[in-house]
Amino acid sequence: METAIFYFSLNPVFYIFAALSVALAILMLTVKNPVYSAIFLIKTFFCLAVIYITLEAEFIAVIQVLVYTGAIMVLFLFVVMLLNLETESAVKEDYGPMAILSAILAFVILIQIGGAMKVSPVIGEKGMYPIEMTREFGHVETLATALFSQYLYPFEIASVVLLLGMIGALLIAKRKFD
Amino acid sequence: MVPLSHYLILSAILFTLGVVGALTRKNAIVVFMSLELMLNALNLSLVAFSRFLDSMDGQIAVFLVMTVAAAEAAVGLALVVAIYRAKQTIRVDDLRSMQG
Repeated sequence: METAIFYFSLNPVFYIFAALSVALAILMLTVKNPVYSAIFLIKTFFCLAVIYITLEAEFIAVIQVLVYTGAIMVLFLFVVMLLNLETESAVKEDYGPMAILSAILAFVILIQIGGAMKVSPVIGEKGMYPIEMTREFGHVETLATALFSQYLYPFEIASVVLLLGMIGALLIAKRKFD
Repeated sequence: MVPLSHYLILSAILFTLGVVGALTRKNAIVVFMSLELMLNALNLSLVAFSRFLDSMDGQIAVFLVMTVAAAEAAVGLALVVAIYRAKQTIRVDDLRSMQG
């Protein structure tokens, strides 16, 4: 009962951080300087980590911070600074008629997704991992139970993907142009 | 408990903002960041679905998506660096020719 009340109290947290993440994503798109864009995107990812906490997915929240804000965005910032693109005139932006048209197109997509969600109720077969199990054993253990039994092969393939990514990045970045 | 539809609407809004960024911005790195935002919106809806359907499948998919995103960011940024060294620009409108 007490845990139920605690998770009910997370409701305002979701709405605050949902609004914050949308605002930060809009700022990410509108600022000119790519360094500021990267910083705003990092803040958006932090907000999403908080939203994962409200979904009681603590491990996902932690790797969101570690992998996305810790590894991927540092890589982005590093490349922006390596290429010396911090000045606003380095890459000229123009918001011509095509840009406005594409923005309108994107919002048509949004309305379509929202409409589809509104008319169709979300139904599906219930899985084997109810939320009480996560609350009792912890999220890491519940996730690992599924990951290391049912999804062992995808997990191993993920390590091969990382290795290929590393080799590919080294080969592409080291190539000499004359 | 926040209903599932609110999570999905947030996910849709973030995905749309990612699409807007990928279509309108000219800086290749910002386009790339918009792609990451779209991947995150997808992750949010996967986690929400798996929470509401008492399943771990969606969260394992998120785990694998993050792995692929890390590899993709490394390779993609290496490509950006290589393009910058060859052409001295990463403005996507200026990259028209197919030959190196």
